[in-house]
Amino acid sequence: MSVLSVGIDTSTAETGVGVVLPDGRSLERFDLPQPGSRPAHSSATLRMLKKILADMGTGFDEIGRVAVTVGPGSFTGIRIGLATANGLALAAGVKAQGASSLLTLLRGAADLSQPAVALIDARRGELFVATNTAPHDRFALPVAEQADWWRDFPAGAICIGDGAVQNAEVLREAGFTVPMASDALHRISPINVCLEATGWPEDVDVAPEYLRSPDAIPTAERGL
Amino acid sequence: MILAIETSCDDSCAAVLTGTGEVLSSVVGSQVIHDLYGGVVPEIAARHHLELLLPVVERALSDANVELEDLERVAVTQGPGLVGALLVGIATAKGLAVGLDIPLRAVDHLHGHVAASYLAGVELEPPFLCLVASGGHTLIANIQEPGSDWSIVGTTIDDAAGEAFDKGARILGLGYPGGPLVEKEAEAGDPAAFDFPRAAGVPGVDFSFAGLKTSLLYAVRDLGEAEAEARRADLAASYQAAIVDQLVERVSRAVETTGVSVVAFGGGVAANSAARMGLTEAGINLVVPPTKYCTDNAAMIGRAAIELPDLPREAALALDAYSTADRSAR
Repeated sequence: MSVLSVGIDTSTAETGVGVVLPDGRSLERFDLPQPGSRPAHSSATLRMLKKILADMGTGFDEIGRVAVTVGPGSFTGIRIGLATANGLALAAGVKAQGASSLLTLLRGAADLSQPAVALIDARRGELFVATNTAPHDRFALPVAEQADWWRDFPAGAICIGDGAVQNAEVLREAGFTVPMASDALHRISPINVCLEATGWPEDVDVAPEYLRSPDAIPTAERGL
Repeated sequence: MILAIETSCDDSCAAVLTGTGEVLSSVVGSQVIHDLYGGVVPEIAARHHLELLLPVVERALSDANVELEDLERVAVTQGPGLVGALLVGIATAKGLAVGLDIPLRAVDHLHGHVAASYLAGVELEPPFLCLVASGGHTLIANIQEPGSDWSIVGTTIDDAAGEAFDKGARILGLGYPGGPLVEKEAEAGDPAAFDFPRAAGVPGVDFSFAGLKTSLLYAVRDLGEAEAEARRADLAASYQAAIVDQLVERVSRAVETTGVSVVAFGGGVAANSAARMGLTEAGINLVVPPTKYCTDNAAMIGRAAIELPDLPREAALALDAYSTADRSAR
């Protein structure tokens, strides 16, 4: 990458920020909220970026590219991430570039020889899912409604992401590999966000990847 | 030169002002989709702010003929409002300010409505009262000095006046947004046809509209569907009159108790001509900004920001939104 690239991920409870310099050096950091605390996406993202830029001996005025996860994942987190990226990109005179949070997770497992399943907590008993055997088929899986919800996962797959950590016991019992909760494979790497976003079309505004419709129902459809 | 951003509810707004408060541009991207839901849906609002805000900011800059490098600071609404909606504006403003290495100012939405009074095109100096009546807020502020240091002398204890219009319109089957639709329907009706309550049991200068809404609901139910439809104009006119009378009575009491005679009128309800006429006919010395500065807009946020200090850099980077409930607790 010939310019300083910033990567931002706010699609899970974690806040991830990374920087890749034109010479290839990179640095990324994560903020994980304490149990019971709200994610710090709004308050942490730019403070983390400022610290990383300072630690790398550079500054905001050197930013030439901004990459951000567009989801699926935390509804509010994604809005904060995209809006922050839009503001930084506007100041830099470029358009922000987007990357799927699921595909960025899978990129972290690209060097493994086994199939991989990325699972992101979608709340309300659901998971957002993608596999590296069919990466374009990303969907919301209603775990609560199915006893064998993992049945379509590739045999012998490694399961990664916060959704895999939450369901580690049942996945392992079903024969899948789930790394320890502290394993970096479960994290969406902001540096990988920079790499994944290179496929984002030029001059297209970043927009969230929705795998679920809004909860609100138009009045006419409610029969009111 | 200041760029202001406002996303507290369902309008994505940006404006450019000079350092002395002259408005060079004010752009509002309205989310008409909420009509389909009979009111503002927070989740839908948050989704659409993300789509609308960047083009709205770019349009505000181009309308003002201003380049990014001409900007000296960014101002943004911090709250109160829909947190998911506010965060889109705040994150965009922070990213832009830090990327341009210029200061950020955080503005209270209600302060913005008060500051809109200075955009009315008339000489206005404190002391004055300001009636802010919108879909989310109804209060009377006492502004003794320029700036953000003002006190609230009366506020609603339940619904906001604009919310009462929206809910009334929904009961009458008129659609959304309720204010202009009730006003239009009321033109052909008799405001004395139905005797709706004026919150007589609420003392002082506080407001209450929840009982009024319930009375309309009962009136419509008692009339039956066909009769309620036939008398819809009378219902709308009487309902509107009850809202207006309450505003007029509370403002008159506020003038009497504070001794401050000039009253500015802001918020979406200020666009209602019956409300303006009612206050004027009651002898209130009324100042009303143009309608475009009464409803949500970023020009008022920029104007309010002029009186505020820049946030320290660390506070700007960490800026978070606050809701209506958060504001009450502050």
